[in-house]
Amino acid sequence: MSSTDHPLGTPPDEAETLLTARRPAYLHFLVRDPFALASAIWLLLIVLFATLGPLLLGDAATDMNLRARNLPLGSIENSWLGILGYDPLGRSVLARCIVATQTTIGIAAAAALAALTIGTIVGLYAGYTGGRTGRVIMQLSDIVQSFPSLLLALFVLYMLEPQPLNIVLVLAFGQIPIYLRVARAEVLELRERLFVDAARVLGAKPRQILARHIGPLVLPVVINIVTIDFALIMLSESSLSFLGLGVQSPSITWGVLVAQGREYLQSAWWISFFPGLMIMLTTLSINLLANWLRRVRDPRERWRFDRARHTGRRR
Amino acid sequence: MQYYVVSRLAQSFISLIGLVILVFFMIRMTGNPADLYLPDDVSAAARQAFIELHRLDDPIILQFGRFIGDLVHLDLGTSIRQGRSAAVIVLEAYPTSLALAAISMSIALVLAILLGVWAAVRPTGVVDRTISVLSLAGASAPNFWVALTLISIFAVGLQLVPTSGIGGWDHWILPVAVLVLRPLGLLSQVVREAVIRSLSAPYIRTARSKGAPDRSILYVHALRNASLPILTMAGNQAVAFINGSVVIETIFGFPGVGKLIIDAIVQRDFAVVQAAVIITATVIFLLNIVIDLLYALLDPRIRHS
Amino acid sequence: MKPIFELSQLTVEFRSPLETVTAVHGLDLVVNEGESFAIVGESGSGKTVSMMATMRLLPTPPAHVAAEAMRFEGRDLRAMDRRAWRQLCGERIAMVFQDALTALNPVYTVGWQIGEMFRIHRPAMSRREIRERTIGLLAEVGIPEPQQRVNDYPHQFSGGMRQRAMIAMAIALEPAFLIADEPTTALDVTVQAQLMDLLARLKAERGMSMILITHDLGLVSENADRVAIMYAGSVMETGAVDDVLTRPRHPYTLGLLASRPQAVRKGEKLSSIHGSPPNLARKPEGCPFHPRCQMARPVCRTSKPALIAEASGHGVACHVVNPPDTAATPPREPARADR
Repeated sequence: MSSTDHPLGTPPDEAETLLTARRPAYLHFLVRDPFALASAIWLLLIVLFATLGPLLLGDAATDMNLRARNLPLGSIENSWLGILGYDPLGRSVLARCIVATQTTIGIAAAAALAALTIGTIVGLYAGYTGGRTGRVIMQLSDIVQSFPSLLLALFVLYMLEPQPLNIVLVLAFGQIPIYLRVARAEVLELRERLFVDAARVLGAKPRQILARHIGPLVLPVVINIVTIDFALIMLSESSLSFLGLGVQSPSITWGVLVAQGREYLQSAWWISFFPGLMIMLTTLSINLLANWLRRVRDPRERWRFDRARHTGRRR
Repeated sequence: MQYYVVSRLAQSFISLIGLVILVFFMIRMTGNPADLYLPDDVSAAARQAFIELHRLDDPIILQFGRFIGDLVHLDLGTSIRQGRSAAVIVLEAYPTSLALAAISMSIALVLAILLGVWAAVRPTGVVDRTISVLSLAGASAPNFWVALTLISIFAVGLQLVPTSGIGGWDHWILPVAVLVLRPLGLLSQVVREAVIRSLSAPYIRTARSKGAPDRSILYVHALRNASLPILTMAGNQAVAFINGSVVIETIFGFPGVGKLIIDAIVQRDFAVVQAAVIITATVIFLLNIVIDLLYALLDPRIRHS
Repeated sequence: MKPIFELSQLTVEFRSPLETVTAVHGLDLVVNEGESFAIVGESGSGKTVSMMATMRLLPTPPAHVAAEAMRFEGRDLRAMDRRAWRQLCGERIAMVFQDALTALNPVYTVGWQIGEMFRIHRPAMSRREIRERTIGLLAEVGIPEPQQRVNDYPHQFSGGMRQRAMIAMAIALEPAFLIADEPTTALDVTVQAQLMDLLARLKAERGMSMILITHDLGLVSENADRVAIMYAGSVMETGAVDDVLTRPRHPYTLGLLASRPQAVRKGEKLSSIHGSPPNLARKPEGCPFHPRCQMARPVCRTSKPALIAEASGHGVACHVVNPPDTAATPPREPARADR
């Protein structure tokens, strides 16, 4: 093919296209980063615990066995479940941790989803309508965002009862501004683009434009945020539960378990330690994975992942 | 410059007013405010008496007017438990919390800058990756768990420090250590990213072409330009300290605002809770002003816009 | 004519695990004392990268710089340790960059940044002396009210004034050699002319030698003594400006000159060079220009033409101009040694 045939000059050949249009092979990169890999495995375990935990270990988490009161770490004589010790009512710490996963993750996920949905929709609306309404909404959002989330949650929960639904709503409420702000910013930018004008000229209603055209572009940004946000919500919920002002008995979350072990710190430290460790490992895994994902998707950083293969001398 | 200061002040003030209004209406949305002050087992007659005494069945507008009036006179209600002005109780507790916050933030900031710059100089090196993971761990660890663990090890196990209470400087070691962790983790990452981004800017190239020494390139040229995102995160973390102090003060028995709030919630002393919320909002307002001024100080482009 | 700056077979590669981009390939350059040497090329030709590499401004994990020789005032630049190099920078060799708004640090005053030259290289100078000298420099480059302007920040200057300030910074220590990387590209034409006049005056007054990197042939014809035309990392044609621009021989140079608006009569279509610059990671074998060359021959596809100069110094790297069987020496391999 001679260069004069193609209207834009020499067309890229096949190899060039492959090289410059390469999509990241996620699994390949995942395996190469030990931290990200470990995080992914841990999170899969967590999902497993959340779904199957109460089903398989429900009894082990609630049956009292006063002969096993406060048995220490590694008490596996009777059952392997004793490997993390027992609590003052003789219940396996390991079993309780695993069973508590469902409520912990459930509340955090529900709150994150609620915040994402409400925040994004209101944000889209605020951005698209603009004008005074948009500004007022932003102002309200800023007010909520500038106030410490835990204090806000405590204040609202004082007035409502600490039922799971209220907790979810309160936790979500504190996070709505983040999604609102991001969604609004995206809409403000996209609103000026040509394809939106085209849709409007063709007679599409604002709701349709938002849903069909702008929405899909906002989604990836928002999804990026929800992972980290989920971790933050989980930490908040744990703090509330630890203070005794979150989820109430008999429901258990990791935060509740840590609180239950607090008075036994001297005699049976494992009761508090392992639930807290689970919070930390889960949050850490989410953060590491989110970090990894961000770096893999940035083409400028991608070459760092193969650094082990690179044998160039350093300066 | 003046325009900038005034407009930021106005903005923050609107936020403050907004929050106060929000607080007022939130209280009334969830039922009669009397229930927030009175214990559950109060008799219907006593409750009605309370309502009439405080005119809680007046029209909302009237109540709001009175609310604002009280605010202006700095009257935030009276503590049921202590019979004193709730505002005074809260203000008495603030210095302890402020001290905790100031010490922790300073330590976190200095360490974060050192670590962040160190990591930024050799990105993806061993040092960088280690600092990265440790920072993330620090930011991911639930503070109450870290507190309990540290108490277990150092206070109970090794008996190096007291387990709780306020007193000499050794009582401050553990609380500060726990409070430093999260901001340190987050700030060192921000420092790292911001310095890396600064270092790839054209003016760094110019500085190198002038023969500037590395130390100057890092700490004079790059860091100053990185200071805005660092300040933003520092500001966020300063506000988040309140979250942390609620838990940490409770665990360590420090007589600060955090512990005060939890105690007040448990004791159903609503006036104190409300006063704490409003005063905290005011403190945040003042903090935002300080941060905005710092922004202008650090970046001349903001000063002249 | 004594050479002040010599480059021999400079090669700059950017290596990543996926690919290696050869930005500069076998560049030879000699600048004589008092001369203005222009390096011309489109984006991606390697003109900026070659100078950045020489000035050690490229981060050398991804970048690899190799050369047979790199000499300034007779000294071997490659052999210099970092301290010696940092002493040289700013003192004997200075650089002026393209966009002063990004090339100057936005958070420090212009006076502070110019003063930095003295603080680094003249530690004995007092602050007052530095301030006086700085104000003097600003005046010399034509900035009005220098006593006020010295306390202003880069964003408070207009584009042209900012560029003048950057020039003031570069000449602060009276360097013998100035490298100007597209100093006027971001500015409008009248300001361009003023700035080039300023550079010419400073050069004459201080006896500086200069490398001017640009893509603007008009600028070259008015301000440079000698020129090298680069394409895809190699020199295509070089020589005295008059020679090369009035008697161009390389097809690329011919194409460049023909594509200027002044080259066609009013009403005619503008001519252009078909195609686009090659992907520097997968450059074609042989002559880098051959895919776009109207006069390409089979040999152009397989062997890279050497730069062959006649006595006047006018050199061309082209098989059509210098058919292979008349070549005096075969093309040389670029050096592979790492820095």
